[in-house]
Amino acid sequence: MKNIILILFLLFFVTENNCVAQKNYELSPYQEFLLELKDYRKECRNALKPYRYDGARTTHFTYKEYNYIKEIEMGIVQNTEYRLSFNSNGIKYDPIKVQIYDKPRKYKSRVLLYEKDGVGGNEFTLETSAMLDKLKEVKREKGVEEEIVNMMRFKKLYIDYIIPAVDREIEVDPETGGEVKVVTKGAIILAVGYSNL
Amino acid sequence: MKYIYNLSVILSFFIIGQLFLSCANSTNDESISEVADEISNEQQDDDQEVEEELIDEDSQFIPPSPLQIASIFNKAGMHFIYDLPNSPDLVSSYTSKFKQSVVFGVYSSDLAYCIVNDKYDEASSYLKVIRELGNKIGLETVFQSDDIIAKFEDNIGSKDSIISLLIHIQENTDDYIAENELDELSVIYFSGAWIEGMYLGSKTLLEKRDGKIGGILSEQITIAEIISNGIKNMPDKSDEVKDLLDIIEDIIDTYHNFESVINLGEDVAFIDAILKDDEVTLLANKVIELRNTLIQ
Repeated sequence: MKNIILILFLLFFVTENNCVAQKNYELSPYQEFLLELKDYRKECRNALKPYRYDGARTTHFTYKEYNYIKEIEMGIVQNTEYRLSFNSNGIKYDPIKVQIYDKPRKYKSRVLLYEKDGVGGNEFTLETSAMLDKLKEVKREKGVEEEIVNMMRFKKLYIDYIIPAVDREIEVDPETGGEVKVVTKGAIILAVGYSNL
Repeated sequence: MKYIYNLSVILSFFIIGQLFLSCANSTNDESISEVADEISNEQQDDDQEVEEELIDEDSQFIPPSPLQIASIFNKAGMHFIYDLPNSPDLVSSYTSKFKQSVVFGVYSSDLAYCIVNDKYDEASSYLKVIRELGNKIGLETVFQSDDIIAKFEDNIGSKDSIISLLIHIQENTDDYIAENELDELSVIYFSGAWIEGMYLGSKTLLEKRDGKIGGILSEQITIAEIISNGIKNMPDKSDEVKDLLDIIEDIIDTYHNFESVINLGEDVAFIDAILKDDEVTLLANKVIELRNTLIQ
């Protein structure tokens, strides 16, 4: 009888520790988020069809108390049409803005080729032909000769993600009792494909 | 006897319980470490001073794939030269992480070069060394999930299927790099891929003068500029990486000092310069010298 009680006690002891162990093996919210991004990357690539996949970039960001920009430089090596596929399902908080330019930020004369507000929790694609037409139109208005304009093609594109300022919430750290600013993060995926015709 | 048996059973349960408890403690330690890192990172974010309303953070880049570069040269009529790609037999001679990363890119370009020219036996050799190098530089998972070599060999002769497989490898590599934040590795291996692509084009050009390939060499300088920016953004650069950056920037500066390029003015950002013969030769020779230095 005593042995049975002792075994039951030990079984209870073991089971409780096992539950604790299992809780600690559960994924953290951030790890779950990273797993979701893997699926979003796949969806982002699938949206490139029938263009041939060429590369992708996942841009992680943290919301701050001021606006700021993350810029991606994209190389275009041939005079063919490219498709850009964006997947912003990894943005769970305030939406961001996407702008695409012909030059990097340091050039005030750069041309805004494309702009989209409210990017977050959605997906969209665009092709370079429309942006090239816009660039050529701007060049014509600036007086560039038609012969030159007709020879133009993109060699680089600059994709700017404008991350909006947020009011950071304050939480009390249960361990230290001190005030800690809550960090919110997001991620947007860009995949690029080219026409192989 | 019965008493001893019962005691043994009880002790067994106790020991098993202790094992679970020690595992839980180990996991707790790892979780605390992760949280500590995260809090530390948050504190670093808070310590940053705000200088402007809009502040540029670190930039990223998306280079074209080795397959696209190889396809471009192939469409321009670049024919296959057997002893031109880097020999797969040299793979074991690359022992430093930097060399292995660069040559991973070099062999990736060689693989693409073979495939677009329908040289499947040669391509199979390059796929094997790429897998071997991938295992050494932290990309082992990319090649473990599928039986890449078997699939390749099953599809020899079917160019479309082989290219699809190559794209699949590229996707897996990009995913793995994104998941594990290996951006610096991608900068280095892509540098190798670009240099090898340029080398293959340059060597072909010097053997047989072809205006189309000369034009494509000129177009590829855009990629050199992107790589240069990617390397500059690396926080901790080894001496080898700094040397690589210096040589790539020398190629870029040489190109921008060509008369053909200077004559285009600002339009060079959107128009492909038609280089003169001596300019093409100079550019090609610089690329060949860089590539031969890297694969030594």
